[in-house]
Amino acid sequence: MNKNSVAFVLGLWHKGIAGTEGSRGSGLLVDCREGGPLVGAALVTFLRYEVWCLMGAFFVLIGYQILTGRIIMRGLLLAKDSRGCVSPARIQLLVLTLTSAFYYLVSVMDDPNRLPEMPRQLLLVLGGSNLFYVGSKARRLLSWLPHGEGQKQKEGGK
Amino acid sequence: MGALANFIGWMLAILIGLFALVVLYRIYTGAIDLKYLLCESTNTDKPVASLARFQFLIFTFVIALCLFLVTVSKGDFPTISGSVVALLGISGGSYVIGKGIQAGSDSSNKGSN
Repeated sequence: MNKNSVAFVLGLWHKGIAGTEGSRGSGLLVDCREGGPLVGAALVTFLRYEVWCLMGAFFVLIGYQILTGRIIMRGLLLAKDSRGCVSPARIQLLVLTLTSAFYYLVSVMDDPNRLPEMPRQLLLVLGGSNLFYVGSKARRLLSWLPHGEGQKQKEGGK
Repeated sequence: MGALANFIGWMLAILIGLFALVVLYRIYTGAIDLKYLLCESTNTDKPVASLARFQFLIFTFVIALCLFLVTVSKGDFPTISGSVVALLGISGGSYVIGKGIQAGSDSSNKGSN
């Protein structure tokens, strides 16, 4: 297998991949086993840039719409009850979500050759945080139910 | 065979790219309206954003980006680790349960009105 051609196809994203990975580094679209590559290196390079540009544009577009208010973000941290004050359950979930996402992104940036494992503790904390958030929502619903049922009974009595 | 595969590959790459560009353009012009992308319920006068949806959006973006990064870097589709599935599962589960609770509270509100 021609290692130079593989290195060219994969780009110089991570130097030394072709040399260390051997035949595994041949990529998804390029089959060098018989009679050269199945598809051209130019196509693979084009696809790489295409996906980068499209994904980048999509992220920027969504981010821009969130920041400019075209995607509604109103009430993200407010409890959906009659008081409508800031909910601690929501704040802790938001902080943990952003922390976990940032941690995972940094882990991948550190070693872009594999999807890293999330620490078990962080997963447990995130699960607990989600449980707390969902629990607080459920508690609000349960506090409404007797009121609604009582009114239904009153209406039935009339 | 190689030339045909190459031709089909180029056609697919260009076609899918054009489709994606059209979708992006329509999102930009507002023809595809993402105003309520993060909203819990649009039945009310003042729809409010849902944190579970926002969390789901963030994790989806981050994992999609990481997956693409690793695929490009490694040149091979990576093994999806259990923790990634767990991360998306926690987020998706929370979103689904939140939606169920919201539906329950909406129906109990309608019943009381």
